[in-house]
Amino acid sequence: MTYIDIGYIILELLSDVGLYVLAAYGEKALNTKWRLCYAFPMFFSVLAIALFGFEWSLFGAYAASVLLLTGFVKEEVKLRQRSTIAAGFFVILSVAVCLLNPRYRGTDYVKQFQETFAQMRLHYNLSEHKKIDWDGLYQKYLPLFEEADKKQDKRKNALTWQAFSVEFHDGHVTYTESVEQEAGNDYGFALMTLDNGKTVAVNVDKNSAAFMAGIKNGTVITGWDHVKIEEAISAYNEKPAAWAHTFAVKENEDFYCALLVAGTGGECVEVSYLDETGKEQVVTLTRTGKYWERFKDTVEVIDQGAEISNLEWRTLGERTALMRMRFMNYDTEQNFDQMSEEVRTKLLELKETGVVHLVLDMRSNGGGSDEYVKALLKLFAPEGKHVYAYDGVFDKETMTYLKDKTTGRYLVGEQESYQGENLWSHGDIVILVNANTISAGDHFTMLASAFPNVTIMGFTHSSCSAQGINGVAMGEHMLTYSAVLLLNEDGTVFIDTDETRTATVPLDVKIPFDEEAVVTLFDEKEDYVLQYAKDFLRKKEE
Amino acid sequence: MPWARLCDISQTGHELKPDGGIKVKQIIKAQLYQISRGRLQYIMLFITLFLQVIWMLSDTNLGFGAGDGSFIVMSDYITSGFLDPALLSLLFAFVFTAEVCGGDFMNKTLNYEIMSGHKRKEVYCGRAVLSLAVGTIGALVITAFPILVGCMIGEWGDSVSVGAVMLRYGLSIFPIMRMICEFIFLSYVIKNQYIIMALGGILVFGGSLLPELLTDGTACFLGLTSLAKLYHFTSWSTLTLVGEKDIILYDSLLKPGEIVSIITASVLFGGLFLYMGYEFFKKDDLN
Repeated sequence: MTYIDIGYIILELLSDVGLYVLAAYGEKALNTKWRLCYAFPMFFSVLAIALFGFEWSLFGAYAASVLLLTGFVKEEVKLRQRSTIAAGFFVILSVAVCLLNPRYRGTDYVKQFQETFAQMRLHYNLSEHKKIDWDGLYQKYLPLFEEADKKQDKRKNALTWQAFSVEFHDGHVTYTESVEQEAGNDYGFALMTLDNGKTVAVNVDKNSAAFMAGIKNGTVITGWDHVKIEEAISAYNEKPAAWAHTFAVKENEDFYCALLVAGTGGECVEVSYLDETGKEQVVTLTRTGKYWERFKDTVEVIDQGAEISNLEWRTLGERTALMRMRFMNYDTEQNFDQMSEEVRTKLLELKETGVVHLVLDMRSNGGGSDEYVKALLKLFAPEGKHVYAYDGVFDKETMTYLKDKTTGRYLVGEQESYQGENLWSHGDIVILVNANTISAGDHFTMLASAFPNVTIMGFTHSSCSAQGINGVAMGEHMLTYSAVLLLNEDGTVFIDTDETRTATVPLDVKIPFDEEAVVTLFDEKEDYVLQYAKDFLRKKEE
Repeated sequence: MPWARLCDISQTGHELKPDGGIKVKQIIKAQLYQISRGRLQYIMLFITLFLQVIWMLSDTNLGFGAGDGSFIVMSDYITSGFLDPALLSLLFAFVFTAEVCGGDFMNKTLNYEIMSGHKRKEVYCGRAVLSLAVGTIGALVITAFPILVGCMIGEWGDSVSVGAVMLRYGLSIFPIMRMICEFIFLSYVIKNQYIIMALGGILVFGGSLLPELLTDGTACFLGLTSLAKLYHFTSWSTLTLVGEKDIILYDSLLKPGEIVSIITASVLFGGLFLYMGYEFFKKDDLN
């Protein structure tokens, strides 16, 4: 039982005892005002219901407080005493009901799903663009929520929301409740698929049985849990695990898929791999714990950017400088003019000291304000006016964005633009991205890709999820989704992928994820992506 | 109206006595006469009406400087939070109830009424009916006043339809009457008009904080939160990229279940408090 309900029950029981005693003495010793005491339990109950919600399991206690009102109306001692005894019985009965009822203080997961689903269906702005089958989703997920509701299974409910979110293939559709434990079991290493199609072990624990058996970073894994590794990955790819990240771009999902497979398996898992001689070996590995920590650590090694704070600079030799862009926000007052001025000053200073190339590290940039994007972008953009994007035309009556009846495209509203200052025309700019570069991060990448001296680089495309977001709160958690339409000039959707899940933000140089990358990242613990960018700029200069 | 027509003519030749309904009317008339001679209610009416208009004009959400040509958009004012003005109107109802039901305990008028042959039921009903009628009408008029003034000097706007506001305004009769019933009960228990007025003031000025603490499904359990539910328009907002302007959409519809629960709970609790007030007064020693 919750502390609040325990407190309420204790108060009710104490009232019962007090009123029983009052019944015996009240008639002789007290005046009529003391009858009010028999009404107080009802006031407590009404207040408790109003403040903490109605709970059917406590119905007995609520009824008891109403029963005690008889003592307010009738002044017979025996009647008052009997009503307090009966009320006490009802209160104790309701305690038993609370303890036995699995739905006690439970959440109606089905109702929550239905209400959230209805709101999202009404306001999600990419339904047609991504060809969302709302009825199909409803049919698919309603039974799962019903099952979670029946058992009042919080974990199942969270998992189902995660699975539901993944269906949209939209980086902005996320459920905020973590389901870390669903990452699976740890067997001492993670998996990644190289560009040549081979799946290799990465982030191998040197104290693990796998390492003792000869599995090292870069060891080719051929089978997992009695099936070929390709089949394991393929099967997993068709049914993305509910806890997995949402990937708008199919190619990005494929990049990380093997990483997700490495957590699958029971108490033991049979792993086939190629030893140093190229001969296939089989080892049975026992789980050593939860996979979540290794999963997180592996993602961090692959995706982490420069270890400096937002908008901080670092020099990479005499001719190259790096600026970190972790997110698209500045200070609490969002003073973007000041931010722009600071960066402008720094750029001019670097220019003076002979720096020619810039690396803008936007790996795992979580997005933020479009004002931030404009304030920085204008510094690098060629002189003149540049279009950012267009608003849609929102119809308050239908609560939808209007479309042109002839073309079927969205009607274009006001234009957002900025003036370029062309401060860095003398050298190259490399923008580093990954699949977690999202939202305003996508905006910046997309718009900067049009500048002649900019190269977008990374293992994967950026997220390609760029619409404005909204959300539905569900208790302490929230489901967010795309709701604010941003358009290109022709009325097509700005950046976000359609149902084909093809990347829309350019990736000029796809850094190969190969044996060399694995060794650099996991053995040498070096930032392979940054090294690649430096080499790229050096070669370009040569 | 001739006195004879108001009375039962006794065949036994005993003294002429008015029936119960007439006695209630007499008490209501006497109270109205007494109230009309005092200044308090007029002052309260003036203050609440004045505050309502000042409150509306000083609201920062009305569009000052918005450049849309109109500085008062009433539908925006109502949807952006109409609970506080609605609560302010209740202040008049609470003060009136305290004056009518609680005032005569202190100067012993109630004792004289009972000694002069009025039954307790009549004394109670007369004051309760008067408090409910004048309190409810007064609260509704004071609530409507700023809306009418706003519409005359500004415009309605498109946040929410007039019909949707009228429906909620009409339904607000139930929680208003319920809260007046609660104050009638309190008046007969506390027997001090000034304490009741102070409680009313606390409820009005502190009450706007309470709805924040409440769970959504149980709003009907308190009068205050029932009123808050009626004047709260569920909204959904979207942004524009250009200028980051908010487009706020209000759901003007009330669910049938919400309407039924507010009406049912108001009638049940209002009736219960009226009955409890009478039960208490019936056996009160009037000291």
